[in-house]
Amino acid sequence: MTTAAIIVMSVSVCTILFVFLFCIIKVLSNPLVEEKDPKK
Amino acid sequence: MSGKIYWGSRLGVVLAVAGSAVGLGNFLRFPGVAAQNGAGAFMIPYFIALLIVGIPLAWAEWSMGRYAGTRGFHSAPGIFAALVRKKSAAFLGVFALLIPLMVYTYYVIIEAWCLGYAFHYLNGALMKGDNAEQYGTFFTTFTGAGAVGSALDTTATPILYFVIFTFVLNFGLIILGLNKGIEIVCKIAMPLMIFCAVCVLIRVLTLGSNPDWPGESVANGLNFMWDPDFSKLKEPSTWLEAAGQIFFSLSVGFGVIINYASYLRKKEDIALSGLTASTTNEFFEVCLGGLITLPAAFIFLGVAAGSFGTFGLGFNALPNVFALMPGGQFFGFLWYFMLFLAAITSSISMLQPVSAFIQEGLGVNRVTAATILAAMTGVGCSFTMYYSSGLGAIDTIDFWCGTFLIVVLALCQSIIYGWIFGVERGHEELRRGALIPVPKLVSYMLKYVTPVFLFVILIGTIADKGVYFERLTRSTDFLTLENDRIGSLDDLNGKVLALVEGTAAPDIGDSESEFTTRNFATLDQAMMALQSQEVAAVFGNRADLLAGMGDNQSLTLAEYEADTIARRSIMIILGALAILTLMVGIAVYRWTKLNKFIDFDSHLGED
Repeated sequence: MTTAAIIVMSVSVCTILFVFLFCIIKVLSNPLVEEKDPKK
Repeated sequence: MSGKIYWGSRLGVVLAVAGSAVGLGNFLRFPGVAAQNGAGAFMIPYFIALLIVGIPLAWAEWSMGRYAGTRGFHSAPGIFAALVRKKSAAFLGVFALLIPLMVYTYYVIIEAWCLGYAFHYLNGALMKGDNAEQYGTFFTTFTGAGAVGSALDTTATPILYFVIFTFVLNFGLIILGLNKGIEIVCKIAMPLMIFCAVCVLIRVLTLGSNPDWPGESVANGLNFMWDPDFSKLKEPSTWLEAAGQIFFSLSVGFGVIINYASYLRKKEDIALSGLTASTTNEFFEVCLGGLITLPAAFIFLGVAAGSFGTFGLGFNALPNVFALMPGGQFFGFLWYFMLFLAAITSSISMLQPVSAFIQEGLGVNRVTAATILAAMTGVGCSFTMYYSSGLGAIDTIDFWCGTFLIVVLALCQSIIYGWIFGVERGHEELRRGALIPVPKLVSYMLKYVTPVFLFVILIGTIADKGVYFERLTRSTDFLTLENDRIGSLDDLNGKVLALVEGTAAPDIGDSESEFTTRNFATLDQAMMALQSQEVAAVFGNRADLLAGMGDNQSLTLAEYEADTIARRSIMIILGALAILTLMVGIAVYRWTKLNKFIDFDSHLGED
């Protein structure tokens, strides 16, 4: 496997993995905003 | 109808949108496209397209969907009417309903293939050793691709039972509703898909090398997929392919995100949710699809692995690979079960927008809407199943609805968002409740860059797939010869050659004039021997025929004629039926739902 292939693969996979995990963790730590029903 | 419906959790909506986007294309199309367009270098235009078009366009759909949803509109006609602030704009929604409706008619069949393949790994029927031809034969028999109507012949293939099962399962989930059906399934299926894919990934990365061909190792497979060929970046087609891959992969322009986002509360975040759904799709595509599919195929098939199309790679090449790898039966089951899960989360997302439309327009409950929808899609699926020969129906609907129309719809949506709804209002909508900052630059990209970008993709699609347009208009009269006696073009060339000593082999890709010039001196002899008039007629239309046949040059002329007529019939019958039904439906919708607002603008409010 060439050095260029290793670099491109690592950068692509790690970047997406990092952003994906960051987003998922942020989503999990922020549950939905429950709006109060004005009629109640 | 009962009260408003909302998503139960933020993770639920994110996984539902991601589940809609993640499909067979992530695992089977992306690796092949990347390998053929510069491998690792392909990631440069790919990421650029993701940042300047993919994510902004997804955000625009989330914004438009939530805006209209908070005003009581969950189906595309109502959403477009709310965005344009004109009741007549409801008719624009026909595309956003037609696309998921038509795509579902074939997607559920592919979903059934995946389930069928998983089942055949469980019972060992797909462990056929290293005879590659057997996998092609199995696929043709199982899917009914051999002849028109053969998919319905239950004595030859059980595919009909798998289709009925998946069809009923999909509608069962739609009847269960947004929270108890779609949301729960996606919350279970998405982590399960990651688990299955990671198991297969570990197996692939620990395969080592092929004992018969030591050069074909997992490291070389990864190299084949990722080694950058920067010279490819000079070719416009590479950029177009990258843009197309991002666009089709994220499910924008499908009418799904806009519907799912309409079930969000007014102050709910959409910026983070949209970004998370997009990156989840990318995770499946690049981190899993990019590391599994081609490297695995490369170990057992060598560089030929890159030459398969989506179905060829998924249903011919990979079964061959699983049969040869240690533990292949188990990993083959995991792989196809994962593809089935990917397909079911996508197929239910195609039904929900149309179900919402029927519920809103007719004021009926979920069960009635699902029953009406099942009847509509059942007719479509029957056509697609019947015209199974050469998978012509699937291919035709996939191009017209799953490729061409979604670019048209996305273009319409981007113009509505950027120039009618307004980027300022859209940006406000996007920022409301946002858990991450959204740069103002996104608005300008959506107004100026995205429509141009989509227009270029549209032109590129038309130029690249001209054969589909030609098929709708060109005559098939020239094919009404004694086709079976002449056989395929290959056979015809062979017969000519056999009669002509000392001439070079005519290339199947030669134009008519090239062929005639190269063989002119002896062509008369050949024509006389093969009953000149018929052969002349065939050769007279040879260039035309070749242009129309595209990738199907191995078909006999009779098969090609049947294929062309079937494709045309499907488009005319199904397309006309669907458009007519939807237009009538939208007219009813406008009358029942929209006309109750005497002051439409006042109902929409200022926000």
